[in-house]
Amino acid sequence: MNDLKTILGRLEFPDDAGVVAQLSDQAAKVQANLAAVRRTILVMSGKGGVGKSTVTVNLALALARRGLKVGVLDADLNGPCVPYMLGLAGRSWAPEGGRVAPLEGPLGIKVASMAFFLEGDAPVRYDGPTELSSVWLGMMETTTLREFLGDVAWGDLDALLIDMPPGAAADKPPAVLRWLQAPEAVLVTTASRVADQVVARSRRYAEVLGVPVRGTVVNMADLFDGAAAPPADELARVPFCRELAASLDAGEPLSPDHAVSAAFDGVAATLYETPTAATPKGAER
Amino acid sequence: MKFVCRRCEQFMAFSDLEVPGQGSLGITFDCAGCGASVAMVTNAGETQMVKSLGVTLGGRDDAPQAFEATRAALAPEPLAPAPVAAPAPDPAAIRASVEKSAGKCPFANMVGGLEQEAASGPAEVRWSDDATARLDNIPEPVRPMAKKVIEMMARADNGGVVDDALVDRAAARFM
Repeated sequence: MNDLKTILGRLEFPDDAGVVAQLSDQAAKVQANLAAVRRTILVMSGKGGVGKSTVTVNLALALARRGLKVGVLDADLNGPCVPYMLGLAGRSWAPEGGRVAPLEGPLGIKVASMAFFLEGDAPVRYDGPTELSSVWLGMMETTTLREFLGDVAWGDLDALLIDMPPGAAADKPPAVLRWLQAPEAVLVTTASRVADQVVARSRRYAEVLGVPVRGTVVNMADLFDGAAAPPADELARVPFCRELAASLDAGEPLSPDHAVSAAFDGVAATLYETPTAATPKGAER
Repeated sequence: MKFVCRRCEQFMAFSDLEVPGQGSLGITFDCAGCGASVAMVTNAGETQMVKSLGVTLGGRDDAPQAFEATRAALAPEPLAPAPVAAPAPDPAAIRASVEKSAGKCPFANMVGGLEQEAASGPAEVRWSDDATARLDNIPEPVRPMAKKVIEMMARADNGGVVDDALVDRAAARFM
């Protein structure tokens, strides 16, 4: 009897259970669905609570003010808050057919979020053996992220911003990146040394994953003034602003004339007026 | 996952999908060469892993619906209120949970009370030459298990002797 290595060496893998074909179909569906998305920008940070969603939402608004078609994917599956910030709290989805339309926020920003599947303050809970969830939960979340990219009718977008969950070296960045062509990243930190050293890991992780970091937004900068050295690729220093906090709580954008809006207009300008080798052809605007 | 028929040196083909119990899948593969059939039975965690891929075993003809995997997996019922103070983990409950998740060993079901019967028989087992030769016909992956069962039968009601007739009886009983 031959050893298994010899046997497998001369056999061709048959996909008789149809699994490989279906996985290929899933990939093709995502690829086709994102074909008209010109840039994908991950807003990420290793640290929680630094304001990733705040930056995502305000950057989306700034890009939309430039006349760009913008989508926001709230990839923080367990703590989705983008809909709330964009005035879509309490809205829900009832997908029918192969694709679902994203909900529309201010300035026509297209939004997709796990919050649209959840009632009230229900947490995200997948049906399965919870005592074994560490085995399968990551796979389930990866599938959900794939469905957000492949099943939401994003259509023609200049930019899709992806609000990543916290975690410098978690499984989510690779789970999203595997589906994206030429993604870019914007990092968010505060001027705190504590945040800074965690965000440094996120920067290294982005490098390891081959994602160009287009710059860093220092949020709530005045609260920690002088604590951490400014990042070399600083895109903006956004002060803690009660009016901004109130606008997010109300789900209404700040006035375009507000200083914080202007700061994000600056970030948008940097992203769109200083294209790099990573900027996909035709995406400058 | 694939199974290889060691005797025919070819992949066994996917043949059937059953749900033998809650949280469990039974996936049957057949060998086109010798007709051997094997069913893989998953535990609840393994079933969930298959589910989380968002695929239908055996293929599908219909187009996938939007968010079908996510919507199918989200728990529908409201959460039960948590106890005020969580009790300390109970080792017996953990063991029971693991055993339940791991499913039942088909070998244990097949053998039934044979192990107890064998315990009352002779400790030594003698194999005849013919019976020893027939051992080689049993597929290698299950040979140790088959040998153990045959020896139990020999100790239980054949005076500790494994001969041709006993092997015939074992084959009739378990194959």
